[in-house]
Order: sequence, then structure tokens, then C-alpha cells
Amino acid sequence: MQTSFWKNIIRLAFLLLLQTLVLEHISWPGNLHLLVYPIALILLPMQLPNVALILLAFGYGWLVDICCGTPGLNAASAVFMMFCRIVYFKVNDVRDILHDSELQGSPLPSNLGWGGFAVYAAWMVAAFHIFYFMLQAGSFHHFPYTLFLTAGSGLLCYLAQLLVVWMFAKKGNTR
Amino acid sequence: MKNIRLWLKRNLYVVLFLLLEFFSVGVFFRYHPMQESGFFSFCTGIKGRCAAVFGGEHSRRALREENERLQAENAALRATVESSYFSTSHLVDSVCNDTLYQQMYTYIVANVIHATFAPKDNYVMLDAGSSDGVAPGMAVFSPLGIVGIVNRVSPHFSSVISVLHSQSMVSVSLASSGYSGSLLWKGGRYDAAELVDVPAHIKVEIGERVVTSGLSSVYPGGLPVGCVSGIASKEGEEFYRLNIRLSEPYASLDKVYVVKNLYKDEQDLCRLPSGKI
Repeated sequence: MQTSFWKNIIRLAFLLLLQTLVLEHISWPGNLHLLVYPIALILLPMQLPNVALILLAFGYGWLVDICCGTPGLNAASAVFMMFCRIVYFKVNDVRDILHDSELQGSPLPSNLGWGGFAVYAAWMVAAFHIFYFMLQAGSFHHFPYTLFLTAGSGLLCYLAQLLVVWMFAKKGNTR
Repeated sequence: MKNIRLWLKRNLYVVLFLLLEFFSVGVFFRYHPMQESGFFSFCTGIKGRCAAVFGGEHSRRALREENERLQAENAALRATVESSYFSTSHLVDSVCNDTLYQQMYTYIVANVIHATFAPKDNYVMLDAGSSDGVAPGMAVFSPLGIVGIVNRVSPHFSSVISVLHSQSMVSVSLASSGYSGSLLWKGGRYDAAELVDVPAHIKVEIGERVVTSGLSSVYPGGLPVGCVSGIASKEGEEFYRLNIRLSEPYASLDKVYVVKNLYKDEQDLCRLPSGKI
């Protein structure tokens, strides 16, 4: 329990620092954004109450906003993604994972399987990026470009997430 | 109350989500006016499209109501213009600055609910009847021209003998000279009539305006009728037969005014029995 808690804290802190100190200052081709901090939220344990998840996403998003100078944008996107996550797990019943005290029910391939995790991660990444870029655009005037940014950045984030999870899954628990 | 509390407890995260989402988006727009204006122009666009799709009927209804209100106002204003009054002072004085006027005409707004377009005798039906103050013999006109004379009346409806009727005869005059004659419709075209009994010694111009003469007790004077489109009479005839292009498009009649002559009974009492309308 303690290990899992610290793991999550370290993951949150590491991805926040990586996002704000490193990735924010890298220019990607086509003005794409590599947003990795949502990975920390996506991987939060499922035992956490829904209210706590929403509050955590809000607080975490605000931290990114403060560091990146985009008040509201990341917080709104993170809260939206977290709400989608709650709905996702309400629709897809995963009660057996919640009872697994050893694994703390983290939505990892070890619990959901690679197929289940890939689908779950894709939904979350899509929800976050669609909301993020649509809010940033503020209108549908340049919709194709917004769609390009959403798809491109979302794909980068998705690949980064799969890579990170795959690397740690090798060393981590397998069910 | 208990149920509400229970629902809130169970769905607190939804409430929290909505609150935080609105707060975050609000803060974002607060610090990013460009996105805010883009978002609101997008919303306005959506609203406009919704209004165009769903609000068409509502707009039409609102327009109809507005139109009715304006017509009622118009009828009230028409009743106040000089042609709706007659002078009660008949003293011929060098300076007539104390003339008293009496209300002579009032107007009732009505809608045309049916109109026939036969080659000979045509009728128009109105949605106003005796309960609205409509009575047989009243004149009917629209802002574009004269329509006819009320023939029969029920409590809520009335039928009007159209100007496009073989029995219709309206006293009209040439606007420039003031010479009057009778307007007849001999069938055929809905936009053409004949003006007879105008003395041939006067000069008539093609395109000259024709208006109601005000000599009958039915139509107030000065209402538009049409214009002279040609002279049908031959040289040597004592009276003109003039072709008139009617100004009222009878095929698209909608709103009309029914004229109530407040002195009609008094006038009819003094009129000879053989008098024309």
C-alpha cells in the first residue's frame, strides 16, 4: 500500500517536472505538443474515490498551468479526462481489480491486459487532447489544424505512455 | 430532501466535476480573450443556426403578431387623418380658422381567408364579422388599393363583393383633374378595369393616378385604385372609356381594412334611391 502510494507520488512529481522543465521548452515539428503529465493521472489507482480523483486532477492540472502560464487550460482538460476515466470504469466493470489489494488496482497492463490497457489509454488520451486543443482553439475556425494538433499530439502522448508502461512492466508485477 | 442528499452524496463527483470544469474554463477565458471571443462567436453562430432552423415558425408568428399590431395602429391612425373627418362648419368666411371636424370613418382590421378568381364574379371572405362591427355595405380596402364592398355578414365572418365582380361599380376620380367616373370590371384580367362616364373634354394622360372620389357613402376619398393604362373610347364620344391598371394585386390579398362610415345612415337617408355606390 505504502509502496504504491509513493510510486504514484513520485510518478506525479516526475512527470510534472518533465513536462514543465523539459518538454515545454522543446519545439516539435508542426507545433505539436508532447503532453506526458496526463499519464500520471491515467495510471492513478482505481481505489481512489471519485471525488478525490477529480480534486487531484484539478490540483495537478493547476500546478502545470501555473508552471506553463496557461491558467485553466490544463486544469480543465485534466478534470475532463478524469471524469471520462470515472465514466469509463463505470461502463467497463473492473470490480475484480478493485479487490486486488496487492496490486492496488492500478489500470496497468498487468491488471487490464495489454489490449484492455491500450483501449483505456487511447480513450483517456483522446479525451484529454480533444478537450485541450479545442479549448485552446476556442472555435472551429481552424478545425483541420486543431484536428491535426489533437491527433498528432495525442499520438505522441499515447506512444510515450505505451513505451513507459512497457519499460516498467518488464520489471514490475505481472498478474 | 433526504433523496436529494442521497443523490448528492452518490453523485458528488459529477457536481464537483461541473464546478471545477466551469471554473477552469472561466479562468482560461478570463486570461485568453482571443479564445473567449472565438468561443462566443462560435456559440452565437450555433444560436443563429438553431434560430434559423427551429425559430422560423416562432419568427413568423412574432412577425404576424407584429404585423397585426401595426395594422391596428395603422387603422387608428387612418381614423385620425383629415379624410376621415368632415367639416361641421359651413359658414363661408374669409378666414376659416375655427372649423370643427367630426370623425366620419373608423377602420376595422381583417384578414382575407378566402378569395375567388373566377372570370366573371368574384368574392372575398374575411375573418371579421358582425361581432367585430362589420356590416353589409361597408367598403374594404388594403394599403395598395380598393378590394370591394361587404355583402353578407355572420358573427365572425363576412363576404365581400370584390371589385372584380360584374355588378361592382365604384365612384372614382382622376387624381390630377378631380373628374369622377365609375369603375367597372368586365371580366377577364384581374389587374385591369374600365373607367366610364368621365367627360371627354378633359385631357387624360396615360399613367395618371386614379383614386376613390369620396362621392359615395362607402369609400373615403383618395384611396388608391390604379392608373390609366389606355383610352378605349373613340373620337367624338361624349364620355371617355379609360382602361385602368388596378393597383391592388388581388391574387395576394392578405390584410385589409373595413371602413365604417359613421354617417352612412344619415347620408343614405338623403340619397336618391337610384344612386350608385
